[in-house]
Amino acid sequence: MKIIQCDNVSKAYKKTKAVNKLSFSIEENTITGLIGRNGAGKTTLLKLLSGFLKTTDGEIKVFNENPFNNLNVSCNIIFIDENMSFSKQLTLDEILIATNSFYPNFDQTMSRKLLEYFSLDKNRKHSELSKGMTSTFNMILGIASHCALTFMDEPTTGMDSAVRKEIYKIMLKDYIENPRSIIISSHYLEELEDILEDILLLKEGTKFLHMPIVDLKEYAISFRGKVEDVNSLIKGRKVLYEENFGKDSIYVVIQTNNFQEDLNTAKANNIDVNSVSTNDLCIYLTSPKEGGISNVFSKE
Amino acid sequence: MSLVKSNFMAVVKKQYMFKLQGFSKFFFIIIVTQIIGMLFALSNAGGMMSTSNDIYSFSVEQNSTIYVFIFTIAIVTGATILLNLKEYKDMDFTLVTNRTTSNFSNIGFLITLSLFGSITSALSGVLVRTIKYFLIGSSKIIETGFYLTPGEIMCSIGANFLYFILFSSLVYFCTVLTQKSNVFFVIILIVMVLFTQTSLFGNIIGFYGKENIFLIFMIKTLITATTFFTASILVSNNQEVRG
Repeated sequence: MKIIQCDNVSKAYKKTKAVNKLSFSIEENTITGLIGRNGAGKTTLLKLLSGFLKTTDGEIKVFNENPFNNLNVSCNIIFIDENMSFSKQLTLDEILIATNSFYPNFDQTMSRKLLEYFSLDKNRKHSELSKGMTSTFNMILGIASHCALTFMDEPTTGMDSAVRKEIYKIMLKDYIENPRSIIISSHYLEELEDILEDILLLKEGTKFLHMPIVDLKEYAISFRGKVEDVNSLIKGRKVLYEENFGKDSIYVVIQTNNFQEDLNTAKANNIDVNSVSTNDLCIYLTSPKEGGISNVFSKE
Repeated sequence: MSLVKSNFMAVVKKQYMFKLQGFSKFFFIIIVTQIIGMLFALSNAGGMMSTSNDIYSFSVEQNSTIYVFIFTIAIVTGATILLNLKEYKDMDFTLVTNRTTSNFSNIGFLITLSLFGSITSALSGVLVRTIKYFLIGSSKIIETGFYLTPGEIMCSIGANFLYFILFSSLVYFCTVLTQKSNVFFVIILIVMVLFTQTSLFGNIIGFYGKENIFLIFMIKTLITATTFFTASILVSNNQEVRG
C-alpha cells in the first residue's frame, strides 16, 4: 500500500522553487533515505509531507489524505529535527510522559532504557542539553513513538560518530520488530546506507532518482587506468565523474546497465575496476557543474 | 502498522495539560506580581485624600488594589502574546496537533490563567483589607465597602475574569494578525492611536465598564471574547508552521 503519493508537487518561496514538480510514491513499511545537497529541497519536502507547509502546486496524499493541517495525519506521524522545541521548564522524563500521552504506540520502557544507555539524565531540561545530546534525545522520541510514518531531517546533527552508528543500529533493530515507514534525510549516507531500503535523490527540488539502494550500488562502475585505454572502453557511455591523475592516468565513473559485463570487460583490458560507494555516487550525480571541482582549477 | 484515529477533543485536552505543565511559570509570575501590587496598595499608592483646617486635620486612604488588577492583566497579555510567537507555536507542532487544536488549547490555557488571576486578585483585595485592619485598627476604618460579603468577592472574581479574558481575546486576535503579516502590526498601531484620539475609545470602554447589570456585562464580554477567539482560529487556520 502506498502511504505517500506526490503528484507534480511544487513549493515556492517568493521566486525560488524549493520543490519543483516532484512526483513519487512511497510504499508502507520501508526505510527511505532522502538524499540531496544543501538546498535540494529535502527539508521543504519533509515539511510538506508533515503538513506544516502548503504546496504551491500539485497534490500530496499521506495515508490517502492531504496532510496540511490534518489531525488524522498528525496523529500518525512524527517529525524529528534539531529544531524540535519544548517548554524550557520540562525535564526529559516529563517530555517522555507527555509524548506517551500523544502517541498510543509509544514505547515508554524502551525510551527510558535508551535515555540510560546514552547517559541522558532524565531530570535534565531539554533546553540544557548539548547539540549532540538534543539530537540523540529527539531521535529516541522518534524511534520510541512507533508512528506509522516517521520523518527524520538530519537527525544526527552534532552527534559523534559512535553515537550515530549506535542509534542507527537501534533504529534498525526496532524497525525489524515494529515495521513502519521511515524517511530519513542525511548528509552521512555512508553511515545510513546499511539500514536504508530505498533512496530518493533530489536535485534542485526535483526527483533525480528513486530506487532500491541495492540497485543504486550497481548503478555505476569506476575505471582507473591509462587515458587512452579507459577512453576507448567508455566510448559512447554516460560519464558521471572523471578525474585525471598525473599526465596519462585517469579515474572515470560511468553509468552501467550491466555491472558484471562491464566488470569483465575492464578486467580483460587490464583496467582497474571498482564499484562506486553510494555516497560518492550521490555526490557525482548531484554535482552542480559537469567536470566537478577540477573545473574550478582548470586553466582553460 | 495500523493507523491511529484522531479524536479532536482528546488532542485538545492533552495539549492543554501539556501547556499547563510547560507554562506553569505564568501562574507563579502572577502570584509574584500580585504581591508587588499588594505592596503598592499597602503603601497607599492606591490614593489618599487629605484636608485640614484650624480645628481638624484628616486624611482618607482609599483601599485600592488597582495595581494588582493592572499587573495581572499585563501578565495575561504577556502570556497571550508569547503563546502566539513562533517559538511557542512550534512547540505545539512538535507533537500531535493541527491549527485548530493548537488554538483551542491556547484559549483553554488563557481561560485558566485568567480565572486563576481573577481569583487571586480578588483574594489579594481581601488580604490587603485584613492587613490594613490590623495595621490601622478597626476604629479608623470607614466600613462602607471595606468589609466584603462572599457575594461581592464572587462578583469581583467574575468581573476580573471577564475583563482578563476580554483583553486576552483582543490581544490574541491582534497577535494572530501580526503573525500573518507585519502589515497588520502597523495597521493595529494606527488603529490604536486613532482610537485614543477619538471619543470612540471612551465609548467602547464605557460600553463594558459602565454596565451596572452583571449579567449583561457578562453577555457583552463573553460575546466579544468569543468573536475575537473565533476570528483568530479562522485567520490562523491556513497558516504555515515550522517554516
